Amino acid sequence: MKYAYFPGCSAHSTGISYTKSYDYVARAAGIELAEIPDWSCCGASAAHAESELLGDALPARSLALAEEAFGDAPVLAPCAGCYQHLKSASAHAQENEELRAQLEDIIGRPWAANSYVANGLEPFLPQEVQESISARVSWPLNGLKVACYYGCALLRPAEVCAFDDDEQPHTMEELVALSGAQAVEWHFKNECCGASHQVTVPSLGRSMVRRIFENAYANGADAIACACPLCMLNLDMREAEVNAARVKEGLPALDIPVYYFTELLATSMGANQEESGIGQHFHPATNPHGRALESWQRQQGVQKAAAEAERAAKEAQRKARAAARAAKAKPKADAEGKAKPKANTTPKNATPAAKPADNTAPTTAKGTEQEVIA
Amino acid sequence: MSRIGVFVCHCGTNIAATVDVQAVADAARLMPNVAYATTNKYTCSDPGQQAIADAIKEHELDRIVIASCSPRMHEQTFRKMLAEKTSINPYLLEIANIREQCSWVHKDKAVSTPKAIDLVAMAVAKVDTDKNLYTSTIPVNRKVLVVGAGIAGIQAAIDVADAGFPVTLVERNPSIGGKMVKLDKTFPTMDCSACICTPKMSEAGNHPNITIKTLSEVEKVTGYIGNFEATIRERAKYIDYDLCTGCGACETKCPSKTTNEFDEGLSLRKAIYKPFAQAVPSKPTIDAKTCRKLTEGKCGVCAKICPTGAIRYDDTDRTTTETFGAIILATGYDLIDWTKIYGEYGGGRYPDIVTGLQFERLVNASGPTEGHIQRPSDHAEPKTLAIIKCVGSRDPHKGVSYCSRACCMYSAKHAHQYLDKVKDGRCFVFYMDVRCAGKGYDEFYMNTLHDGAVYVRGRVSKIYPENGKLVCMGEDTLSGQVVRVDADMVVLETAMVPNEGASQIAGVLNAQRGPEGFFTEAHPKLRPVKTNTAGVYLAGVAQGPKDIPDTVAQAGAAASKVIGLLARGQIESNPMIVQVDNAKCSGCGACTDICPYGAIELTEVSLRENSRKVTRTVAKPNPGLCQGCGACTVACRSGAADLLGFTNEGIMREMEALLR
Amino acid sequence: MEARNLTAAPQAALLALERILCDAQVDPKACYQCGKCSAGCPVAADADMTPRQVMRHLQLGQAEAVLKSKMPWLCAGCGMCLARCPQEIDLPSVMLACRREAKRTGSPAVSEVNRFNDLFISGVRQQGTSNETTLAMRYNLTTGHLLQDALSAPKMMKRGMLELPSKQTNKAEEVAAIIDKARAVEQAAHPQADDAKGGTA
Repeated sequence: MKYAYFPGCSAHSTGISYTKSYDYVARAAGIELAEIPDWSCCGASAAHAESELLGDALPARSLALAEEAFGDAPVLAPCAGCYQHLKSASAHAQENEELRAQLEDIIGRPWAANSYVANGLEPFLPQEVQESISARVSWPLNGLKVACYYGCALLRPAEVCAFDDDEQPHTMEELVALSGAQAVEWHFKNECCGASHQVTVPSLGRSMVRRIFENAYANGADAIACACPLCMLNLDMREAEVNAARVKEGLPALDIPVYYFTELLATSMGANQEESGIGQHFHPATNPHGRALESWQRQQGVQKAAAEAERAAKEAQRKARAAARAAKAKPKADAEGKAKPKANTTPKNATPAAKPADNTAPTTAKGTEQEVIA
Repeated sequence: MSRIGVFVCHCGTNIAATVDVQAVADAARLMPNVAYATTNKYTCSDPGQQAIADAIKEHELDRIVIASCSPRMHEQTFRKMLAEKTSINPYLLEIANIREQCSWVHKDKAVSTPKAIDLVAMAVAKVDTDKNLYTSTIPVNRKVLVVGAGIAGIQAAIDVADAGFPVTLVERNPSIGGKMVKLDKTFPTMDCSACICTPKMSEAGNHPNITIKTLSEVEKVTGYIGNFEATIRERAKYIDYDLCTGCGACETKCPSKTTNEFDEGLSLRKAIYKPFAQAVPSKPTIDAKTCRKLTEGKCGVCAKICPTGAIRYDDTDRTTTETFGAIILATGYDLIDWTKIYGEYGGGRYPDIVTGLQFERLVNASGPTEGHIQRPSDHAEPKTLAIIKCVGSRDPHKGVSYCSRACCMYSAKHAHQYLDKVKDGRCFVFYMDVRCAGKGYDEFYMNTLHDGAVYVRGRVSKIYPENGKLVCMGEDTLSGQVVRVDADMVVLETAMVPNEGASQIAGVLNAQRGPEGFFTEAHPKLRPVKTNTAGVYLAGVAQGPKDIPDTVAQAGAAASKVIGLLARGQIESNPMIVQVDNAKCSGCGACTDICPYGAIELTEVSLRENSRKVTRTVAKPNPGLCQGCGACTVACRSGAADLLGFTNEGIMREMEALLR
Repeated sequence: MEARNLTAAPQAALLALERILCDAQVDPKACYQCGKCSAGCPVAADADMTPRQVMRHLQLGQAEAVLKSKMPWLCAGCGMCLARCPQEIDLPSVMLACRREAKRTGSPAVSEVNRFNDLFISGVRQQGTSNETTLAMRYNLTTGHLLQDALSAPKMMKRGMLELPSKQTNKAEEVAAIIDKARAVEQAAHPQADDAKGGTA
């Protein structure tokens, strides 16, 4: 599958490890990334902030160049921000012929605005592609619990992106699972990372990043995966400050490395640090396999403890029932007047299974006589 | 030579403000065969009608044109006046609609007045061709069909049955009682719902004039008012109700368990089950999808244990066809499936977020937790409860655009019940408005505030779990603060949507429904229980969201309309139906194909032609079924089919008058 | 302090209001003030006005309140408000429209956000793409936050995360032309906008 590839301005700077790992996985999956010749900045949120027209005009140039070079091949923008702006411009032009003509005039190039614009996750989603990735996973990250972070631009506005479920997305989880890692259910998948506020309104930016880390942590994540260089930069670069604030408040520092989903895939496919880019993070992220193993061992420990607790509880119940039977066997005179405790546990008293993390899945109270569904 | 009278109505300022009615009357005076033309302020009023009757006498008029509002408003009024006060046949009347089709759609007198004159000219030309028409009577069957046996259907059935008419009450669930019997207490009096509903259920069950068919659906309806033929399918119950004593032994031994719909999914029931203790009929049924005997051929314990041998694994559906004079639709509601819409509330992943109906089951003493308010995940008593209103309602983006009307009151009720049972509990109600329009309602709501419920004005954006709590993110718009409530349990008060049974019966009856799926009443203010299908009436939430007092009132209203219809024993048929000229009819059958009501058949007749007796196939319309739509007259190639009251000639004369 | 007279809105405010609503293509009458936007907004709790309050002021014709507010500048454009709004009101566009109107009257309430965006565009105008290094440097210099993130620079350099600005290419010319042309079209459409848009060109 061939894509007209739009790298975006951060591809060879702050987003360098995304570019490396993306390239690695794409090659392995048989996806051709044909760079749009002479592409220019998509305008990001700054162009849109200046005017709607500029916000559509800048992306239009690169889209027109893609058309010129590659016809109606789908356009691929791995950076979620670029994706959103390219896709919006395309959608606006498709809905409004007058606008398309006006943009054509402004960019000074012909532009039919017909091409599909894909985000970084999409090329890997088809079943055959997933299978070809799976086939190359030689060193899976079993045991690593990953919180998949989508941010805003992949999903919203839903009218334009029409990608995944914008409140409960699951496509990144599908891909991360290919690496052997286990995606956790958590609740800040689509909450904003603050974008350029990290620079312009830092205190606000940090609190936005902090709540993302804290919810991932509360739901048992060892690492966070994402699909946008700005989200990655914001999370990775600012984790240290989040930790500093936490420590000041008497809370433990978090050790949650942030990865591009492609870094996780590449690493599981045998890429070395240079190839995957995991050596270029702010927060140390170079040993995902070690982390995975640690996590797996921890989970085993927790599961063992839970199974032990359940066995102990059942044993206690059995003993209680036996004691009650024995008490009943005593002469009636002894037991006269005493109310016998009922040995059968009613559904309400059964112990719920010990939970490893907060609400990873709806837990049904374990037990065989349950009448009430959780 | 006819003597036509033209009466142009001012309709107050409705017409007169935009149409120069005097000019219209003046122009009418000059039209062919018009003997008299005048205006009147309110023609439909008593004096207005009397003025027409007097003018007819004085000027010896024999045909009437009234230029006024739509015939749908007052055509019947004026026909009745002609029949009662004059000697003119009521069908020698034409209405020129110069209101809805003229004064209401134009602003400029210079445009609307000539148009009104044209409309009157058309009516004058047509009335000249009208013939005397006479209604005939159609007998009305005394039986009534009520579809849906919630409180609306039950009340309507009792009212009709008490008047002496036999009622067949059809319900798709295994018991009557609907949603009301699931509720715990009812506002504003806090009566126990089952305590007030079950006596009515019992009354219906024992009433000599009511036949209840549960696990049944109406599959097909043909016919017309007074003579509906309905085919009812009674699904297999797998139990002989004549033998079954309702002892319940079968249920105790059944090994198969499945979700209990009556408890809104909060508990399990057996495959052989009675839906709830007070079910009417008080007999169980077998759920074929989960019964091991019926799906796999194994088990069969219930048959072994039944003391009267009432189990019938080989039971089949039964269909019966009966005739009814009138039909009342009382199909009720379902709650919207919020899990498919609100991913921001977890989309159903978090067990401690329940709907209002689920909360009713939790707080109900006969529910899965015996009335103890416990959260589904760990049965702990929630110390902080969040109630969220308008989930799905008033949400044109993701839900429905309308207000579900009863939830403001029942959420206050839920808050009150929670605070009553959980002494140290805290309750937060997220709302947009609090709508308490009924008797005692506002006082009830104020009481809930005094109980300690904290009402936060703002819709919740997101709910997510954190540290064993459910965090509700909101804004208290009244103080302008962004807030969060960490709740142990959340109740979503979700929108009422038409019951899925409604679309099934709507297809069968071709009954009109609005854009939201509720049945359309004939007039939203003046004819709230009738529909545009003669003989079909509405009661309860099937017509639109409402609470129990309004439902019971509307059920009584529908019953009174039905009783009025049946008490007469007969109705007048519409004479404006198709007439076939056998001499012109070639028996081609194009009309039978096109008739949407199946009102024409081909038949053999003996005719005298050219002094010889011949037998030919011709079309024969059924005056009872024909609705006067005129489709056949268009399809008829020889012009043999003509519509009385809208004859081909009359329409041609209208066109000529217009194009003159 | 006097009660706000809702019947006496100054003409200038009404004109500003009209420009904002026209720019955003939003009808404030649709908003029934449910607050779901503010409830899901990541910055609302830290802003001087919630998104819903911004809509409220627009409904009441009080453009001045909104133009002085920081909320439109603190908006991160995440779109959560629009995603959940029952009336599908395009709040992100409202916020941007308020910003543009505030720029026209010369008073961006959060100057850092304004400066950052202006510098971003001027950087793209010069080079055709955005260079994060130069952007960060110019931002620090012109806002007085001289040492912001300065400590990270050497680390980033070592990891190859800082790209040096490349020399001007043809595409830069084309991109500059596009920016200029878009600006000209905007200027023609909104003749009242006298300030040159976009700071340092």
